[in-house]
Amino acid sequence: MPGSIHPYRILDYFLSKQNRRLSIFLRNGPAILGLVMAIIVTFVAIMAPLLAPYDPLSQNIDNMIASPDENHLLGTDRFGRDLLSRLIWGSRVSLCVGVGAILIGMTLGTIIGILAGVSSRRVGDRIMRVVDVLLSFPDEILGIMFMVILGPGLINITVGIGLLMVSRFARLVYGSTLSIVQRQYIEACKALGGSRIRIMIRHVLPNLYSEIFVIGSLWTATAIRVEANLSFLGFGVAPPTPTWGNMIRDGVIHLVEAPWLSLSPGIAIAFTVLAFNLFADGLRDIADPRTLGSI
Amino acid sequence: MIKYIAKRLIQGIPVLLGAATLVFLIIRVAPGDPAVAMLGAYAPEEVIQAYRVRYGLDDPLWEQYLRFIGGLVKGDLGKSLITGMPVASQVINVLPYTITLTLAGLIIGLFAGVPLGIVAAVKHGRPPDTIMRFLSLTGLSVPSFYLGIVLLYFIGIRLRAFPIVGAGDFSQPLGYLKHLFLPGLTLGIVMMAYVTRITRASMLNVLSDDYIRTARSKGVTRRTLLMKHALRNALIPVVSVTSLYTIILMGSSVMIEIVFSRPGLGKLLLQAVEQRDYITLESLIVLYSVFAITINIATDIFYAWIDPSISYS
Repeated sequence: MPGSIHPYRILDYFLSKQNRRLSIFLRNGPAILGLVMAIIVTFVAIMAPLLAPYDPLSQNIDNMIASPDENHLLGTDRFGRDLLSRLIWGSRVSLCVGVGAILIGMTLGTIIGILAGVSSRRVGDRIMRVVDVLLSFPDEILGIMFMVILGPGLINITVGIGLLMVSRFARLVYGSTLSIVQRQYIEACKALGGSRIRIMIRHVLPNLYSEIFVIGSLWTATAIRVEANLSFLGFGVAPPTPTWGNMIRDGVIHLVEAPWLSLSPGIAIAFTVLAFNLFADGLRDIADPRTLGSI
Repeated sequence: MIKYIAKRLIQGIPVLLGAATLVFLIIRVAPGDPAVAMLGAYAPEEVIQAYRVRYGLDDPLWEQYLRFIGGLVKGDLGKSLITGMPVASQVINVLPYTITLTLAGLIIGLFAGVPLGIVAAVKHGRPPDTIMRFLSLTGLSVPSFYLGIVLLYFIGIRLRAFPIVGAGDFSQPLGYLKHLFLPGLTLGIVMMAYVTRITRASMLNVLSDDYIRTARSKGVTRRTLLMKHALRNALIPVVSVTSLYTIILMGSSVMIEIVFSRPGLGKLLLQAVEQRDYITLESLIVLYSVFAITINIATDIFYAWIDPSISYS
């Protein structure tokens, strides 16, 4: 390793040629913090069977609503189940639903958005009008409506929140596609006889990747929050599977005598959502350095 | 201007119609027969059939659709499948609770968020800004219902400072306000997080404009510069996103009404879900979109009014 480089610059030295953006990202403190937090949650979710001290579902009638002590670091719930273990296993649901919903919303939304963007103005307008109708509902309301039809369950809530995200992605992609379609190289491609599908896949889509990725990570935070909301209302993954939302729902009845039951899962939700928010904020600074901070 | 207002109102109609159609279709393809849900699986077939006929659930779907849309036009939201009461009268009973709650959140959020955003922008890059940025991001990350539970526990249960259940009575304004305090504060904090961020970003944008430099070089005092020159322009984007935030607040109010056991639209909605009361459910969901669309139109009109550079055509 060359000895003349300042320690802080070593990383830059290796990165600067291949990827300037990464080095900008690495200097963004909050974004790194967010990334580290997200990695911690992901690690906990993957390693849940090894990390959890107890089976999250095993009940113990002799030890119900126990205060935190050395055996049960966060105490036990009303069935005597270890709260820490449930909290650790709950991270799986939050992450699966959050990331899964975004993948569904991203895929469908991008397809709809690009199609609307490259279609004739009349067709595009009509598609977007339907999207705008969906966007006019608050997340919770639309989420409740989808869950009423789909019923509870892990797959269903992922699909439900995914559907919620479709209109958001479609709106975003449509706007960007419209501005890309006006560029000269698209004109050139058309003049050369490039088909609409070729233009969409080869020329429009690659230009959308970075934006979709940045906003996608921001909306992962939203998806995780919406999952917690719906789960708290009882529309999410059904008990006894632990989710942070249904743990709060269960615990809130015992708020007076055992506040930790509902207060600790909330901290886990806030931690995870904040992780993705911080990370996305940092990504946005790189993608668009002109935004002074963030909106 | 009047022409613009009329145009915006007319543009709202197809959106509303679209929303109503969508909700109708989605709710009606839901599994589960409301008549069976209401009367129980062991009810005799003829009783279930009679119930279907009575509530028009037996008619062809398009007839039910036309009746639903026709009713909406006349302001008739149908009759609850459970109580047989008109949905509209139930809505009117609880609407004031939801509106006061949302307004409380909006007012607290704006009055606290705008000044904080200005401070953050003025101290750009320095500790107050960093702290404010972090706090507002945290505010966005904590789900509203959880924030409600936290306030309920620490202020309501531990300090016993404010009532935590129910909404009080309108005839006793002081008691009502006391009941409103915690739920309103919860929504207010959520709103504050959003408003602080947008005010800061918008203020930073304006402060880098040429006319601010000109004003500064003319010797305008810092106070006048910020309050008179910068703030006015910085508030325009704040106003426009406030409508978006109000719609977010309406969604959060559902959660807050559940946490604090307040009567309101959200509580009514969840009750309808539990009872599989499809008529009430679809009417309420459409009502939420009516509010959202109205807020959007009102904002556009307000926006056109405060910003002369927007053409009315």
